[in-house]
Amino acid sequence: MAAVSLKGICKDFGTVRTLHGIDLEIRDGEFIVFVGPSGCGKSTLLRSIAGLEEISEGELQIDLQRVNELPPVKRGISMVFQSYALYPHMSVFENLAFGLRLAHKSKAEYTPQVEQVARVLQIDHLLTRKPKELSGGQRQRVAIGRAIVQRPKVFLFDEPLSNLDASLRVQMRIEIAKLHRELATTMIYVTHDQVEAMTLADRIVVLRAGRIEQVGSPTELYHRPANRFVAGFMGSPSMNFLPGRIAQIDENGIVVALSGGARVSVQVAPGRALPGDEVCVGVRPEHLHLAAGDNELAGEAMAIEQLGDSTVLYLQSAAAAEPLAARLPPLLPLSHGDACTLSFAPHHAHLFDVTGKAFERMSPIPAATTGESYSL
Amino acid sequence: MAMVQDKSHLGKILAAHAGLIAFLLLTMFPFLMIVSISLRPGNFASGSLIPDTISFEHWKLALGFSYTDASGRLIAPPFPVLHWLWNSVKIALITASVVLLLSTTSAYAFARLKFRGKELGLSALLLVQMFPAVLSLIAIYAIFDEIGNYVPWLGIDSHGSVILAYAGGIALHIWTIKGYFDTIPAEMEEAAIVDGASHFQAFWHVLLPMALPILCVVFLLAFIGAIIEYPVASILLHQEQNLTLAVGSKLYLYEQNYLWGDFAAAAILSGLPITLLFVVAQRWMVNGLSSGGVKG
Ligand SMILES: Nc1ncnc2c1ncn2[C@@H]1O[C@H](COP(=O)(O)OP(=O)(O)OP(=O)(O)O)[C@@H](O)[C@H]1O
Ligand SMILES: [Mg+2]
Repeated sequence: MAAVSLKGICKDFGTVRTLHGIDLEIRDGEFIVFVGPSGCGKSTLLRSIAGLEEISEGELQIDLQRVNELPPVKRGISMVFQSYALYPHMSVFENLAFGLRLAHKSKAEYTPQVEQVARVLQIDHLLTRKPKELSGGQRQRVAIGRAIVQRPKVFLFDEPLSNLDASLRVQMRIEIAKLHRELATTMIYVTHDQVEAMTLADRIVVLRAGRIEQVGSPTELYHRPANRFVAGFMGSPSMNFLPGRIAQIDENGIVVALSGGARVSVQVAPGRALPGDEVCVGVRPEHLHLAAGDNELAGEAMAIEQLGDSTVLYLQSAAAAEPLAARLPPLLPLSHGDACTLSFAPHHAHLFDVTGKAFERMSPIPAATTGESYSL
Repeated sequence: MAMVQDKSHLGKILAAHAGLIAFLLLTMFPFLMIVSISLRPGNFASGSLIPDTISFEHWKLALGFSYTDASGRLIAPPFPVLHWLWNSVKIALITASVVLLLSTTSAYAFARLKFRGKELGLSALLLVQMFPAVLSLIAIYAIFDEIGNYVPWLGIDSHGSVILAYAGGIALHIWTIKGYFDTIPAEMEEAAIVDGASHFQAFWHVLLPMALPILCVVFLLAFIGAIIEYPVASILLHQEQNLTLAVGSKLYLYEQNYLWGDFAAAAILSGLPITLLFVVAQRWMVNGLSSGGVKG
């Protein structure tokens, strides 16, 4: 159990800087998830914490102790790899016991420890098998078990579920969440699956090109994205962006004249914005409704996806170059080419300035959430 | 393979088999010829493949026994063939071990470590290996002559010198093993390091066991290479007692008298350790040792 503190962590590969000064305080027992587009440095950051990559600049503390110079085991971390990386020539038991054997524990000492972990992960009947005789899910359990037997202070996971099929992924996700509750150990988890991030995380760290874009609870990131990048990254289908200019500022927020001609009002605090400023309105697909209302966007149905629990409508409209995505109730009798009008409530909209920074929204985060602010 | 096949497939199979068998016979012929010569009375290189009478005279001599020929003369074994065989096996085993040790460690460095001149080093290794050893025989002789002045057991006419000379030829083995290491994901060793292994322990406990099949192959190749090598051994070894079988058997073929039969028996003997080692090593040369560790 330990807090992890990153202070200005930089990582260079040769002359190329991959991480540009990462500052992050991870609390004891917290479940932190790193997300971000491919190549943004998630794995590099995780491997730097693990000690598999040397940190070029900055300080890493685990449990209040500087660990930059320590090898992985001495940092008290354990890591689960995306490819599992089980030792193919060893049985499951030997795989689990490998680290304990290296630590010069006697067989009598580590056998009960290994068996107990195997029971927790329900792989105790597989102990004599070789990895190639296991299914993907079982291999993943062994990989997790190998991390658990080490009793680390911090668990690191690099996309541990990405090789599993959808249903197994859901099952393992629930088990990892359970594991975190039981062990109450600090966990750092890399994924690019948003559902994993939203369901597992206490706090999510959104990375882009080696920098932190925002840190916050899942609800916070969803309701109060700090910038256009985070807003577009979280949620699927992703948020619709409508470019325009500020037409009017009043006590109800800002009225934006969209480039497509329509005028929409958005409930955000204007801050220092002035009429005429270039802005971008953001609306999530789930907040668009097929009805006349306050903020209307007209267009032509381009594609309709029936997902069973909902219908996703792609609307070609004058308001944006890209088709607008709208998540609508299931089984709507829409077809290609239909003229539709979508609307959204002013309090559901987001507004971003020309640099992509979000305006502060007036509406509070819906009740039953405990968002704390950690925006950077 | 119970795939559905075209009718013309059978014809193709037959043709392919006929071709393969013909090729096999062609490659087997010299070997069968040698076997035939070694079992034939007298010392003749030519003759029918299946000898009319079978005589074990050459084999007796090769195995160190005397025999009485047709005229009642007792013929003693002219050369210590079994001793040469032992020399060969000893040199080959030590060479193969040294080669394996050097080439795995170098291959590890080339596959996993980052250092300046890595690419250059790899190409240089190959280039050096392309230079035929025969052309450097004089140099080799001179070098070991000089070394012998300081370290007698590495000088001319010592087995140490032959082993040292052979151990220089590891470039291809380094390439082979490096190629295999490259196919093993680095995550395997990283997992070991996270588990608390040192770099050496990760190499020893994880990488080497996974590379066992290729290590067997390299050991075998180095062993065969050392058993059959002639030019270098022939200039480094002089006394009859010190010769390897490959060099020694040449003594059967002196100008006036080619003892083909005795030579053939010795030649077959020299193939024996290779066959034996192969049978033993085959157990570990199975594929798929490394499967199952990563996804899939
Ligand atoms: N060993 C290396 N040498 C040079 N550059 C590297 C090395 N490892 C990673 N990089 C670079 O660092 C950047 C971040 O890589 P990283 O693997 O951390 O991305 P990631 O966020 O994990 O991506 P993904 O989601 O695809 O796994 C990439 O641009 C990559 O090309
Ligand atoms: Mg990655």
